[in-house]
Amino acid sequence: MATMSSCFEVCSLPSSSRLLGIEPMCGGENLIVTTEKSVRVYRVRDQKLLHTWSIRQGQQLTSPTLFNPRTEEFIVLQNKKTICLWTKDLEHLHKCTKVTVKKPISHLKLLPDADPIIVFDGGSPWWLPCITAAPDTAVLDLLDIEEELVWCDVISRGGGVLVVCVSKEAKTDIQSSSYTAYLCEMLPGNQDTPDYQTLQLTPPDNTSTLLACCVAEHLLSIWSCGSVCSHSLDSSLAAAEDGGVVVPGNVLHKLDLPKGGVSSVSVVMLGPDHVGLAMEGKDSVQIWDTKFWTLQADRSLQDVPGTGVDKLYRYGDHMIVARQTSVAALSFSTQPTSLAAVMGKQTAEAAALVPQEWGGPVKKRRHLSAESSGLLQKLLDPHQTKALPAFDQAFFQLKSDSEVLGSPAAACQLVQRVIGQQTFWARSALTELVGTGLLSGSSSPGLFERVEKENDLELWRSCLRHVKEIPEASLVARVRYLLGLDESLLEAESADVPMEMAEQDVPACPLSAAKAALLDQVLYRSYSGPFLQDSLAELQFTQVMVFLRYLHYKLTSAPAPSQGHEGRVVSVDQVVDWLCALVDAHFTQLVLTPESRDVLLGLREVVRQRLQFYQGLNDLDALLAQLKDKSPPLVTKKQDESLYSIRTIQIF
Amino acid sequence: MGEFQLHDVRFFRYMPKAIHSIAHETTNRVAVSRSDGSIEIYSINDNWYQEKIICGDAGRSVEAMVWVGQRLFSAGLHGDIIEYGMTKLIPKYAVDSYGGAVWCMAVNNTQSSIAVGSEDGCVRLFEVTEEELSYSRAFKKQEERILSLSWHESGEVLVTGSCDNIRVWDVATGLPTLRIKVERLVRTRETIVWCVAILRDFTIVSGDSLGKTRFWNGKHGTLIQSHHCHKADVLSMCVSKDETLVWTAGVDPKVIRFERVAGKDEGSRATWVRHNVANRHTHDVRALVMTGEYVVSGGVDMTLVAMPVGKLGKPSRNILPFPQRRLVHVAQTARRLLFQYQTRLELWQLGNTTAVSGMPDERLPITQQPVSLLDLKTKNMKQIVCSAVSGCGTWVAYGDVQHVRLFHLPKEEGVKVLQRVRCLPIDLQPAHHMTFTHDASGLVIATNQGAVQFLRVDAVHPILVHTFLPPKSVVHPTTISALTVSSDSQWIAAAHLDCSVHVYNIKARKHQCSLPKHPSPVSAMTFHPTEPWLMVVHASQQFFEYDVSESRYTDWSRNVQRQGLHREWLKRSEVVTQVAYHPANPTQILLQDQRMFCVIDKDKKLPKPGSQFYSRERLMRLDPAVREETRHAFAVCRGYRALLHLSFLEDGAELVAVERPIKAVTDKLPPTLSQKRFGT
Repeated sequence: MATMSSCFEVCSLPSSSRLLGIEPMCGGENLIVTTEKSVRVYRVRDQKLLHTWSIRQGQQLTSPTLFNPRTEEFIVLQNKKTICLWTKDLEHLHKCTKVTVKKPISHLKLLPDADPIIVFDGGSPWWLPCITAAPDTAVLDLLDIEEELVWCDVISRGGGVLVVCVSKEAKTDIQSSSYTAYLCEMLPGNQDTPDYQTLQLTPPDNTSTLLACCVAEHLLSIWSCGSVCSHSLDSSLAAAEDGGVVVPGNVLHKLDLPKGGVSSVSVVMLGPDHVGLAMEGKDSVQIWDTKFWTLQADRSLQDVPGTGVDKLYRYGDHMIVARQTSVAALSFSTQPTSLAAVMGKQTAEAAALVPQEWGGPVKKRRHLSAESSGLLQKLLDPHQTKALPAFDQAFFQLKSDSEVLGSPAAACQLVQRVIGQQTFWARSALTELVGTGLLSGSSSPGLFERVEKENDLELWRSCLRHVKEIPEASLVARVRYLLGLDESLLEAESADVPMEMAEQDVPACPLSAAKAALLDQVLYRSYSGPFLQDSLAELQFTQVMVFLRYLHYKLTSAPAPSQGHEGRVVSVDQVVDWLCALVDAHFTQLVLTPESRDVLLGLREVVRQRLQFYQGLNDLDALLAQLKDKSPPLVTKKQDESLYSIRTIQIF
Repeated sequence: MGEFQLHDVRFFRYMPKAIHSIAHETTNRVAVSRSDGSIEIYSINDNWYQEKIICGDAGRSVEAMVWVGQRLFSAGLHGDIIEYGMTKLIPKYAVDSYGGAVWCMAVNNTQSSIAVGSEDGCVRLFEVTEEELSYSRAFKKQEERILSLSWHESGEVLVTGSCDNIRVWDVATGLPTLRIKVERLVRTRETIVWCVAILRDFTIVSGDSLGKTRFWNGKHGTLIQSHHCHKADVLSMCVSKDETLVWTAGVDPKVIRFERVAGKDEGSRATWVRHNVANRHTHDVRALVMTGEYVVSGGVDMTLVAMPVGKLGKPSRNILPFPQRRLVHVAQTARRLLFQYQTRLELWQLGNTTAVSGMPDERLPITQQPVSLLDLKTKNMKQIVCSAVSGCGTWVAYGDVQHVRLFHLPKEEGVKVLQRVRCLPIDLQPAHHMTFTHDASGLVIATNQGAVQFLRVDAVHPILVHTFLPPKSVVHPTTISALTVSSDSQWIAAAHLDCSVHVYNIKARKHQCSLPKHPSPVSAMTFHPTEPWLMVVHASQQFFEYDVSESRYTDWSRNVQRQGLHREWLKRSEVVTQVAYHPANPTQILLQDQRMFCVIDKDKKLPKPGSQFYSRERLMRLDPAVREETRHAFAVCRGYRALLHLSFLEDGAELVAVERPIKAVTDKLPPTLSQKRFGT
């Protein structure tokens, strides 16, 4: 996991000279910004310019300025062959100590605990003190003539420093280039040209070029086709001087590069498992997890002034972003990666927790006592409670602990256990659990199906009453079950809905009283239209017809919307909603089937009558509105705006 | 009992005018000038009673006013400096300023000379003599017009503000000693220094059109401090007596106070710190004046606002822009209303309703709408001082500053021609107040010389019957503030601004008696319909009932005085502008001011000083049992802004209330400075 937070501009760069590099001073607190003409030191946290030096006309700097904490000196390369050394008290740069060497130097590198290292154009690394002591020492080239040094970096390994240089050899006949990595191990105090090993870096496909590298334990390289490869820097694999061992890099990941390809990519190590990545053209910085190659954080830099991202550096807990016109500091944080953290899986502790009471003084979250949790485990474990009596007994014991039954998680798990249990049916336990009212439609799937399988109507009714938030699909499934229910299973109950004799226009109830009562319970539940319609499409057509007739009957007999709330009776607007959804869902079938014709005509008749009634109401409403306008308004003294009015006033 | 049909009349479209300048007099009076050139004088001590109104003229504008002692001088864009007679309330004389339009005027500390800044860029000094104002000399001319002017306390130094600069002048030589350049914000637009003041220690305070209040060192011409507190021009400024507080206000209607804070150590300079901001106005504030306890401000939104200066004490007051004299007259028998605008009169016939209601506060359907009968414009757009209409509605009279005019509206059907009565007697003096007698046989006029004249009204040949003068003990009669005549045409009562009330007997043609003097002037008076009792209400909310034939207070009045009036009644900030007896039931007296009216029932018990003083609305909401207990003589109906007139019609069963909603007035004002508010 990684996050990037605040980003602020550290300094702005002049567009006249090219940025050479940004190096840290005092461990990331200050930054040394080197351009071709000047060296400036900024303090990151308040963007204050601490020191600045510039060189004379006609000369230019060729490497980023380093600060050697051991000797407290600044080191920079001038015109590739002159090394300048000075302390921070120096006023003018041309007064610094200069050491000139014969061969051009390409890089200056520094690690915290070692001396600075000079890497010559030919690829050979030397300690700086050796060169400054004896500037005329003969320097041998490591690279061949056609090769050129493209990238160089140092890491500390063992007691010494490993210098990794990647060179590119341009082959004119084939369009690709071949890349070689030179590894030189430098030990402190070593005065000579060190030994080196070579590694051949193969591009993942033939036409790609190396875009960027960074090194930690492995050499990570990004190629223009988007692949990220890792090459092992194990010295045992590398061969000595001349024979290059071809080490195919493991293609770790394919980056999503924009269509035209990018010309430059900047990558920096942010820790053992994370790298920061920036692509040219996109104004954003990404943090990738190197273990699983997942994008952990992506931050756009549009709120910070400046354009583009040229290079990324990492010092301390800030990523320094060198843009075309400014330098920005972006603070980031990374946590160690693990699969669980990446995938986001919940830990198993949650089930054993008891919900907190919010009413009284804040109590600590209570965990179940050991005994109760043991019982719970026993109940949940199919092996421990194999038979119904054992289950019931354990349940009875558990019931005494009110905390368990107060926990929705525990209740859900128990319900799942009961439902899943095919060998016995723990009805009493289930009744108790349902009665607690802690279950909801989504947390206990399959409850209704299981109950229906047992054809237990009382429990079914109890479930319907106590389970909260039953989804529409489940409601429709209940309707389907009811419509297909055998009459014999229903007990002869006192009907909530009185049976009416079929009169001429009023349709008769197609279902038995008991079934109607049960169906009312289902229809009474809350629903939302679109989902209902989708679910109703699942019903079979015969059932649809029965349902339609029942709803038609309900339409004529159901009470008005404002009544009937307390009695849990289905009101007219609910019936209308179900009718709409049902007719919509099975529209084509209803149109095509001849037997639906009478029901539909009857429905149409009822609806037409109701509409007439509402039209009459509309006319009455217009008359009443006119009456309201005509009567004089009740105007208080303050609101009276008229020029002349007569009113009665009572003084005493 | 106590049920009336109330006619709410709101079609009196009186528009008060914006305030241009304010001047403060040492006897705690404030003169406020409006954009039509009229000047109102308020007496702060008497509950801000509006004592005098000097009518304006079409050609006269008032840009600046000064009080020299008790004398009032004004100057305006017409180029004259005018002194006003405080008794007759007309301009005494006008002196040419010799420099074109006058922008500013100030009097020095010793009140001996007035400096006038005019359009041509010259400061001129005028000497104030006993009789008149005489031109003394002029300072050196400068190019730009002089927009603001201030004397130093010593009278030797003067500071003026004009476009782009401030100059300090030496009064003795008339030459500028210092010139301070005020920078321009935009190169092409000049910065106008609208107001300037110089303090004792030669600190110059200036407010300019950039919205900045600046403090300069008057000796060296350097800037001490600059505060940019206003969003637009700073138009007016005032300084407190001890010169530690400065108030500024301008187009941005905030009034900001600056306080001088002494420096921490000895010898270090004092700084001026911005203090609180008062947001009482909605439009530009053009005038700001410091009286001892109040800062009085006024501007385009027409309201005069007085904010107290000290921390504790009185609340601030908003004085409504409507005049406190009567603008509406009711012809009670004929059910007609006469509206007096600034330059015209309107006569309306009231509407009618035949419905009889049962519910209180119910609006009755109107069967007959009010009809406009007459729209009379004055000659040459002269401003109307006073007007009157007779009870039968056929005679209309008005007076302007020079003449009294009388008109006859014949009653016959079909003849809707107004006839002007031409041959008015020559001795008829210009009037301040006028009223017809009940039977329209006579017109009683309170002249501008403090006398009362009685004119017999006749379409062809009106005769001046008598001129009543105050008794000989009064040497200089002061202006009459209220006039009333009894319904049996026997008595006339006139109240003067020196708080005296004289009663005259018409038949005997002599002075009958004078009421005992009360410290506060009379704001409203009326006679009892049948008895010779005079009901007098003063500006301090006290009222008395006086029996003029026996020259003593009535028993009820003594009772009231003995018990003392309720604290709530005395605390009211509005002055009672009208009092009337119920024609049918004279035990009920109606008092009206601009925000409420009250009916006092003499039969009921008076409220005890410590008890609750409910208004009628609250009383109606109480439980009937509690209501009976707490009911007292005063029944107050609030909720009006502003109530201009309330009176009974003939039979006493109907009341006419003429209201001018203040919202209708403020809606017609020009738009104010737009300010960005959060969330809009």
